[in-house]
Amino acid sequence: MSKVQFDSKTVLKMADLARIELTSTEVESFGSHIQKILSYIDKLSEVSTDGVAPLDLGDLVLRNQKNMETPLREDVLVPSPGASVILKSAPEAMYENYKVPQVLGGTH
Amino acid sequence: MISQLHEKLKAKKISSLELTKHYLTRISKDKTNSYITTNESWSLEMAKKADEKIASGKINSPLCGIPIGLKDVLCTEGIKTTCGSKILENYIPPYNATSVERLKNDGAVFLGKLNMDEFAMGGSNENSAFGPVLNPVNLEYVPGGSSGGSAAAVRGGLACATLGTDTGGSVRLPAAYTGIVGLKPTYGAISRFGLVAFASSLDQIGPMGVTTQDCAHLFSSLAFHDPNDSTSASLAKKDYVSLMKGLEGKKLRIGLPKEYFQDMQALQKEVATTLEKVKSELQKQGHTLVEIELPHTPYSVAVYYIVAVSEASSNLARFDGVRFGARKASDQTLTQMYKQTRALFGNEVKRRILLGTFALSAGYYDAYYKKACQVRRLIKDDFEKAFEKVDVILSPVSPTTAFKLGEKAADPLKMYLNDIFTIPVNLAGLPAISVPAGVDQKGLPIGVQFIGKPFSEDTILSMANFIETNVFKNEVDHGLSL
Repeated sequence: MSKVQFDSKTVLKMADLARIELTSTEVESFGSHIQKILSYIDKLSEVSTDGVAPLDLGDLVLRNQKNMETPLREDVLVPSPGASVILKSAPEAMYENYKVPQVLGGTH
Repeated sequence: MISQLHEKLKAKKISSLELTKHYLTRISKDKTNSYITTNESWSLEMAKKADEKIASGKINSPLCGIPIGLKDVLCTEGIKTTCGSKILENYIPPYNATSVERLKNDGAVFLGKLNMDEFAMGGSNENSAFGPVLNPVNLEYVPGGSSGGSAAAVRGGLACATLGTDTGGSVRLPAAYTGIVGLKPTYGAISRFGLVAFASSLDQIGPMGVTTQDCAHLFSSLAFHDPNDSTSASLAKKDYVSLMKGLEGKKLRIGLPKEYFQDMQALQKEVATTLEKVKSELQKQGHTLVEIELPHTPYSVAVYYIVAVSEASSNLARFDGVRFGARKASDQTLTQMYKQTRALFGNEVKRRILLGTFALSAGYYDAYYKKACQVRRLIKDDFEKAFEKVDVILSPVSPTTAFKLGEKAADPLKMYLNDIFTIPVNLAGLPAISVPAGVDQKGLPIGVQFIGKPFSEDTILSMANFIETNVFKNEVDHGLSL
């Protein structure tokens, strides 16, 4: 496991990837907190994992349910709430669609 | 408690409406900040329906007419579901979570939505956008998290029983800190449909109650297959109260993980002595204590804080100001709108999203996420090997009793390490229960944990019931004469 410097540049890069605006105080405190957490996590490098397959969600379900089937849902039509009900949760909607800020053209 | 109230309701010595009003009055005087949302007409309507069911003799469940509180991470149709977050402050779901729907079908009455750490991230319930929850045993102390409201409400007599959720200990830790019973079921036992996801391979809904039997009643109502959750196990509906009672007196092999017990110095003295007392009572009863090894235990917290945050960074991408929740900077670019909307997340949530984004990012994925999933397999293998020798595992819930508000807030890593005994269970997808077994010198509750094989909830419920009956009689007052 490589030693990572979780400096302000890395914090800002991750914040950009995660689409979160941070204040300068947050950039500083998150950097030092995450650095400390990553140093702790580095202890995983002590464990030999050669040839060990990663455990994922599907695997977890199957291993727990050794003698059970993983049931599939019947392929039948069931009622759904409909667009107008779902759109009530949206901050902005228009003509039965989600409304978002302009994406193409314009002054932005 | 549920069984006694059920008898009284059936005998018409009390009505569900009276019982519901009793709890709503207590909630109106609450000093612990346990509830985020209550809605009297919603609750009273359900109580009236339950009374009609009782009057017509059509009771279909012991939960009929019983007032229950729900962690505010479970979707409730027409009732705000905030997840303890500013970003969902005014979110009203158009549907009920399966767990909510099942309790409703059984005639349960909902008292409201319970406070929690934002998106279930935290161990002290200090991360809620609606203020911290206080421990009803002593208001200067945290109730534990993330299901702090669910625990405080049961202990403080603000709900007969509640639902919480457990991703790394969020049912068991607050249960231990407040002196109630909390069950974290096997992964897949209770449907997660309508539970707002934090870490999908770890999250489980769990019942919390005054007694083990109360948890068994709730579990019976919830634990069977749901076609709406692809990870839901193909379980048939069972009566876990009878199953639990049927195991009374059965002699078991109880595992004591060497790694958990070798460093007893790290445990608060009273936590260690409580465990010793539990061990000797179990032996007296004819159970066999067996030392077992879980060699990858020391890596659990590190694995958890990669797996959980990675899944969280992906799950929480949905809060983008488009489909639900709050929106900021509507008049700016799409990216600016996303960024400013998501700035509404609290500190702990932001920190975990950033760490998760990092663990999944190009160049670091293999070193962090993949490595953590490999070690996770070794942790699960450890448990599988141990369960060849034993039926159930005994452990502490937490190294200490509850701490004071603000005590660990400045050091996230210190807070994370508190979960050392609860996290391995989620990583391996196993069931576990936290049951009160004593109090420390300050009067703060001490819990012990029983971990079971997959889908052996009946066994761990019976062990918790044994502690309740033979080791420690817990006194919880809801102001009712039972």
